[in-house]
Amino acid sequence: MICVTGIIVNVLILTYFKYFNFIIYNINLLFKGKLSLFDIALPLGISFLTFQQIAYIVDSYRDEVPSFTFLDYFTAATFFPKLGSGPIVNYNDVITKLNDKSRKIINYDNFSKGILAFAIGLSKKVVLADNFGKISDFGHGAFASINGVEALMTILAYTLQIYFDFSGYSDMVIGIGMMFNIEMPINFNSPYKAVDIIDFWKRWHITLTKFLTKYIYIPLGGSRRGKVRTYINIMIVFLVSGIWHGAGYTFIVWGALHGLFNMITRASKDYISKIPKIIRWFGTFVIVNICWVYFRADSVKTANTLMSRVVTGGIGGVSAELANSMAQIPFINILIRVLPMEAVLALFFAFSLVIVVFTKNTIERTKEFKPSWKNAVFSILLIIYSVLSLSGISSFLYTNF
Amino acid sequence: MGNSKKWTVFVLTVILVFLLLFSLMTYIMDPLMQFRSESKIFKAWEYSEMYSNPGIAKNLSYDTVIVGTSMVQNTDVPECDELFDSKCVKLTYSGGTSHNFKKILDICFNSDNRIKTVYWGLDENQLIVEPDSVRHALPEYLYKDDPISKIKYLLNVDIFYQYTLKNIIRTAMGSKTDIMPLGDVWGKDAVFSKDAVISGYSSPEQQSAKPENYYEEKIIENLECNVLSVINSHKDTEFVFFMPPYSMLYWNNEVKNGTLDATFYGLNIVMEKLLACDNVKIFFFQNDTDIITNLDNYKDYSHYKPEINSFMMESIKEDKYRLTLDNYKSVLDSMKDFVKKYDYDSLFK
Repeated sequence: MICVTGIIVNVLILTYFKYFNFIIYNINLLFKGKLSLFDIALPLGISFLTFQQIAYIVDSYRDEVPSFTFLDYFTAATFFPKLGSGPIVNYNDVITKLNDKSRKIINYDNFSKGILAFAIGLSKKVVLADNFGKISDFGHGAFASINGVEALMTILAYTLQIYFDFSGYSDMVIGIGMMFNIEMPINFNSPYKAVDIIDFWKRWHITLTKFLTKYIYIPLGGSRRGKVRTYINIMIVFLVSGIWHGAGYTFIVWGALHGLFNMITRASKDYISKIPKIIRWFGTFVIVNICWVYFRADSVKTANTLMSRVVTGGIGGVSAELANSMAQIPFINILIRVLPMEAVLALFFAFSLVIVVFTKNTIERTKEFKPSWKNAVFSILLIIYSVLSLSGISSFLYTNF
Repeated sequence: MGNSKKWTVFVLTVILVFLLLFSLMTYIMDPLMQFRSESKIFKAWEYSEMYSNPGIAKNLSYDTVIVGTSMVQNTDVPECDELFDSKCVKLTYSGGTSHNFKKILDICFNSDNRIKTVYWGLDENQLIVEPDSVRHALPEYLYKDDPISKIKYLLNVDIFYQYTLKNIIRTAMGSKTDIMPLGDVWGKDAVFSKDAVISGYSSPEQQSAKPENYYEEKIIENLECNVLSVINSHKDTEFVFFMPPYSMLYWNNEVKNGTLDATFYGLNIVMEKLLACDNVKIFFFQNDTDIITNLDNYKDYSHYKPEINSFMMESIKEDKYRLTLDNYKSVLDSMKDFVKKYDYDSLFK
């Protein structure tokens, strides 16, 4: 009873802050009413906190966690690096580590690895994500009039932006955690290397997938109640994930698409496994790109139009507005002195795709870390350039979820 | 490189020392005059309104401020200095909103300068937007005075690349730039002719007429938040508003867009509210039919040649074109009447 009440109270609080206006909007739509919307500020990281609390309530109900003092619980819940955008952690784990006396002294092995992870995360956010953000913001703003090349760039730019943004944040959390001797759970494992959608969700936002599996999919029966129920359960999980990400139909479509592709992948496992890996990778990457269009767009209609522009927009160069905005970025400004803007942008995309698909990720890098000159110069350059680029920087995307 | 303790100390030390030296360099060079206006290093400055204006407003010495949009950018500052026997500075924003000007005037009034007069080139367009909106997102850290804003200025690769470096290169090449706040104008390079205006102009489709109070709410909000608040907190300063003369094609747009009634209704509100203040004068040039019907004065449907900027400042000095509580209604009414009855086809002949 306490468990159920606890979950309901948490969901209601989240509903008030995040979904109240969406519900009113739908009521107005259905009954042609004119209820006015409320001006509700979304508290930082509330979606993450809600899931975190539910996990704790359920775990205590199942006697999987010992009881903690309020101070312990509060410290873990608000542990600053993860407050904004997760990862969703196991309280038991974090509280035990926070209370462990042997972790309260500086451990330079951990600290140095933390610096490297932090440097990579910060530069992903500042140097890559925010500059791709300029392209995707432009394209989503001018979606009706852009040409096919710009539409394609817009879609790819957001795919890269959201990855660098969110995984950059997670890298920084891991880095800061390491500096405090608190290992944070891995949230990303090179998701764009995935070769099917199920694989993608084992690599993207891993702590969310784990949460949804443990607290929704399995309680619903998981895959133990026959094929039809399994597919329904998969769809429910992805719809919940969609709604959790945002109050709007675009997020529901995004969740439904991922649910659908998961079901298809599961149903045709034997067939898919025969396709060459490179083709599977490409197909997965295209699907993920299409889903992100709905995730980012202001409306489902915008997303549809934007995608149709890829085909109907025709081939053309980059418009002056986008070129001007990109030309403000110092490293691009230097390159356009010798190359046309289109070539510079192509290089920027290619460079980032190579990083995403072919290079080692932050977790692998910290595992292999040695205190070498190479690592020192790498970390120093990344941190200095990122700090000097901070002033014009937007906020993190994922804190709104 | 040995152990991880040495590595950590080395990496953190290099980062800290570099960032300190970098901020020290920006502080000494001060390419946007955020800390001082006199530079022993630069003879030439890279200028952009959004980035350079706040530092200039903070640290230059002046007693008269000229603000406005591109309509004001061609104002000749040395000429004004002589005309008004003052030390002027011209702080403009292309397509600026009233909030742009409130922000920069707040900085002016917070500086060490005692400001005698503000000349404000007022366009209706400044007042029909959200009262807290600016034309382009501003680098806010240059407009604030808190320590974090200072750090954003000092540790900033964009500032280094776009301003510090360009100032160094310009100075090294011996070029001496004239920046807009002290007198530079764009009009010296532009072509003003009827042909240029007509070839670049397309008349909008006829729209249905908007209601009279179409702009009312926005205009009142903008006046209160961005204009009257500044005027009323600086009673010792005289605020001289002047409304510049757009060509008849501008009025053709108003007629075609169906906004003419709303515009004149709005102008009446502006005059009524502003003229109620003791420290305000208004000069209205929009109805000078000799200027506005001669397209050779323009480069497009609204931008006129620099001579007209000089003419306006001289007329203000001579107290001509002045609106008062007694005459503003009849002046606006007869202008509206003129615009309504005008034969716009004659412009294209």
